[in-house]
Amino acid sequence: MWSIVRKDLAIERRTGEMLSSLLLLALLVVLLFAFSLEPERLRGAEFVAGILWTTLLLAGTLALNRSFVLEREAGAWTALALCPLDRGSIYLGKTIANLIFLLVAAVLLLPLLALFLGTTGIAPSWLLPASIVLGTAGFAAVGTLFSAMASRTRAREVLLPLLSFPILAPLLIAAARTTAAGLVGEPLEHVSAWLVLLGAFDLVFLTAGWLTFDYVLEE
Amino acid sequence: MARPACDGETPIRARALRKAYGLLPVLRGIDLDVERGSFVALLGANGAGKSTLLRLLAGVTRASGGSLEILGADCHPGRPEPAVLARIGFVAHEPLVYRDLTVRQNLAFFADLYGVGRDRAERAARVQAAIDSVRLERNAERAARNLSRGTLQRLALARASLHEPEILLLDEPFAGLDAPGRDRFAASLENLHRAGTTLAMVSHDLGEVAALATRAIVLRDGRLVADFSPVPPQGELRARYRALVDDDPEGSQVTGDVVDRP
Repeated sequence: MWSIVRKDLAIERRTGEMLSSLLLLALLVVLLFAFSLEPERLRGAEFVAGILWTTLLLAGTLALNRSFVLEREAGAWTALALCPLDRGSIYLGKTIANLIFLLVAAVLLLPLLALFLGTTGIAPSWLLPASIVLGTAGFAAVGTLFSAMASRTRAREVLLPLLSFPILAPLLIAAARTTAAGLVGEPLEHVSAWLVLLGAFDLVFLTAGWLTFDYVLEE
Repeated sequence: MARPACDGETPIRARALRKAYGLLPVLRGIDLDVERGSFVALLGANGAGKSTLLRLLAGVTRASGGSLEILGADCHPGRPEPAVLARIGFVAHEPLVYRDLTVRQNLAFFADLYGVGRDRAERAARVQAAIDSVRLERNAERAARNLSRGTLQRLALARASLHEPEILLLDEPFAGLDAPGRDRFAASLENLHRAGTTLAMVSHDLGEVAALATRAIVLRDGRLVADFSPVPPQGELRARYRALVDDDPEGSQVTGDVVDRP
């Protein structure tokens, strides 16, 4: 599993394609929001959290697609499928690597959002990193599974969002709500149910991906 | 528990092996025993089922029916267990490597997944030995993306033989190679065969088959229609092979089970 994570990080170190495209698209989306919506309304924590997660979802989908194009290129995916290891661990390795890219993007995106939207009244609590880690983990879990499925089709760029966005809707709502709470230091009791939902979502989809990846890899 | 006889002298055993993609039958009942240490060539027109048979043996895809034993393990209806996969190598049309990693990084990655060597130092030594064995020393630090077709194919062979598999499966490994590239690749295969590896190779090149293989089987429309063991000289092989496939306008029409076993 960790070999797959190291391999994906090594490819990214050599090419820089995934993070650079993810960050550039994220920056564009943030700028579009900043220019197209009323500035005064954008400054609230709810808007910052909503824009952060919408941006991550759009840019992250592109990065997840790219992650499996790399695997399909030159048939490396077949060599991976033939290795004597549990296919669930291939899924976990790919998910962890994608999670790292999404986390890096989220960490870089937050200050950008604050800068471009002129957000005030921010008093972050531990809920902020917790919501980002749990939210990106769920996104990586679903995105990795569906991008592996979609990568076998010619319409993969369209298929991935079509498959994953409806499933990611509850995650997006819960992540945006807990991130907003984390940005202004709201007490845990206000968002504990959302946090539990995030954790349960992660657990369910990580388990589902681990169990079903054998069939996803099948020709 | 006693191991089935298949694992001893017959590492590959297929009985009535069938494969269909949806409603399209590709293999229509293959019976095949491959002896340990043999070099079997799979011949046939396009669409005859050669590559599908090889991919079934490699565990890339699952059979639709019949039975398949690889190294003593039953591989149908499931896929080969990791312990069996660890003893098989596969070279396809494509190099099956990561184009953005260097030759050494690719081999180190797959060495890691196959658990090659007891520690990092031994693993690095095995990777270096694999690089040397296919004469890739000068390209070791180059990204696979920048390698020529012939060099990529030697990298593919190094990847597939890195873990010293007992069975090496090759799908048209000579396709796209220039003459020196073919010679170097053929020499590497001969070395593996001499070392006792069982090889099965899909090929359209009867010259390479006559020079390298100890046995050649011919597939036609998903059926095994001829079995040459030993492989006759190139001219005779060509004549006998053409007699089997040239009357087939589609390259794969069924005219009956014409099994030729000299």
